[in-house]
Amino acid sequence: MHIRLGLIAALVISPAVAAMDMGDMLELHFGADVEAGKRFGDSATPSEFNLGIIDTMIHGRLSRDFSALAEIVYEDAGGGFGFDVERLMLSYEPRAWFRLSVGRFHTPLGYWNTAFHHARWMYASTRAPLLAHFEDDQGPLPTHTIGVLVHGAVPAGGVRLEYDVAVGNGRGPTADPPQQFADNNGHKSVCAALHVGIGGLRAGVSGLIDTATLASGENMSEKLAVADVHLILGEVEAIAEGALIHHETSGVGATNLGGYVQLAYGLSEDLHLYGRAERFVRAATETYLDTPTASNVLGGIRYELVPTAALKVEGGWDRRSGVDAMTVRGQLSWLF
Amino acid sequence: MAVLGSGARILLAAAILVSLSTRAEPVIVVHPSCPVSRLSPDEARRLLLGADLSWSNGDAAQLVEIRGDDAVVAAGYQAIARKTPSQVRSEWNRLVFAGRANPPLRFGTAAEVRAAVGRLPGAFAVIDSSASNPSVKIVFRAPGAD
Repeated sequence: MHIRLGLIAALVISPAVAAMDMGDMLELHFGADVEAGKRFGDSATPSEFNLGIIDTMIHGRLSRDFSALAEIVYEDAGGGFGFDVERLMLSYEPRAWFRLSVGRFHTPLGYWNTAFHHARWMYASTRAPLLAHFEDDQGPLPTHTIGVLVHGAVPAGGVRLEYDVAVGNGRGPTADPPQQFADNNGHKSVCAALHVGIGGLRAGVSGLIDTATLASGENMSEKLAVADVHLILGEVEAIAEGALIHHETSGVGATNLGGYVQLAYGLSEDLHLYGRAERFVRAATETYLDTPTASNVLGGIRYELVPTAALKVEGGWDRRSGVDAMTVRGQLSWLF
Repeated sequence: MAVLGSGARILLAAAILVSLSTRAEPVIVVHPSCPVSRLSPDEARRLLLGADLSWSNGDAAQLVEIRGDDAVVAAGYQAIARKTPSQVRSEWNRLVFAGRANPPLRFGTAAEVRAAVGRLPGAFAVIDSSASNPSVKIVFRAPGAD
């Protein structure tokens, strides 16, 4: 009994003891944004000021190998603020080539969804491309997974290999919300990704398979494939992603295609120009996603007021569900 | 020079020596087990900005910093990455937020920073060369940082 109690005490105390030589144990980050915009040609959308999202992230180092992360976002929920636990992870990383995380995390699909998270300061642009929108904002990909994630980076000479494998609850009866507290079927989503990095170039592929049980009781099979390239060459940063999203329910298939290219150029340390072109084609037989067929071209300028706050001004054209509009938008965003 | 007496010459030489010895020389130090013995300027920049997050032996690269402002660290960051400490921290915030890296470890003094690097495999820091000792390994000297 004493041995058992001692073991429990050691397990409880050891992370704290181990953390004593690890500097600050806790980091708190805070991000937010405010916007003003006008959409010309769409009479249903007046000019507006709006509060964007308020993002808080807590990172705790429990010991040299264990860490915990929680990201909580407050955002518009029908006129008031609602909050979402966007990420909640406990990670064990004994080596750079093996990190095991359990909880809610960003599904390792493509580039944007794992490089940028909810704080819009992280984007060059004011908004994410439609392909990388979250589930509650017409996003076509299951951007969050509740389950287990294994990630690793293996340097091999001048090449860097990165892999991800995730298993989780997968999609529920509707695309949003992700199934956080239970799974309505025994099928688990399986996602895998492989990336290669050489210098400033990183490219890879990722895929996901899942079976969702719909409200009707029917099963929908989902197969996703994403290819992505990220390049930093001097002052130029380029991101390109393409995705194929296939759903099949009762023998009826729907194949949706989406992709974008984004370029950014640093005129100076503080000033960047950026542009993006995007296209998403929704299958005529698609019934699960609420992502519309859309095209979008935008360009803008980003100025770093300080290293932790940015002013972005952009304009562009888009066509969503057949409605054309020109948009001008300014955004102040910060993350510290 | 001929007008100076021998005592004045000795004083001048001593002043020059003191000046040289106290001139800040930022260096990147790593844990002794680190497989790298020397970094190129580009490798040093990528390491400091979190573009390379692991060493070839599988250890995660862990930045260790002095808490608050430090003139030597600022000079080192500028020389290595052409960025201020705020800008470097901003880059690490981005990585931490993305879940790709652990936050930099922060300590109150340069001695604590050096001790942490000497204690933790994978750790690295920018410190003044005069603060280095055999518990850590110098792998990069910032050019023209003074």
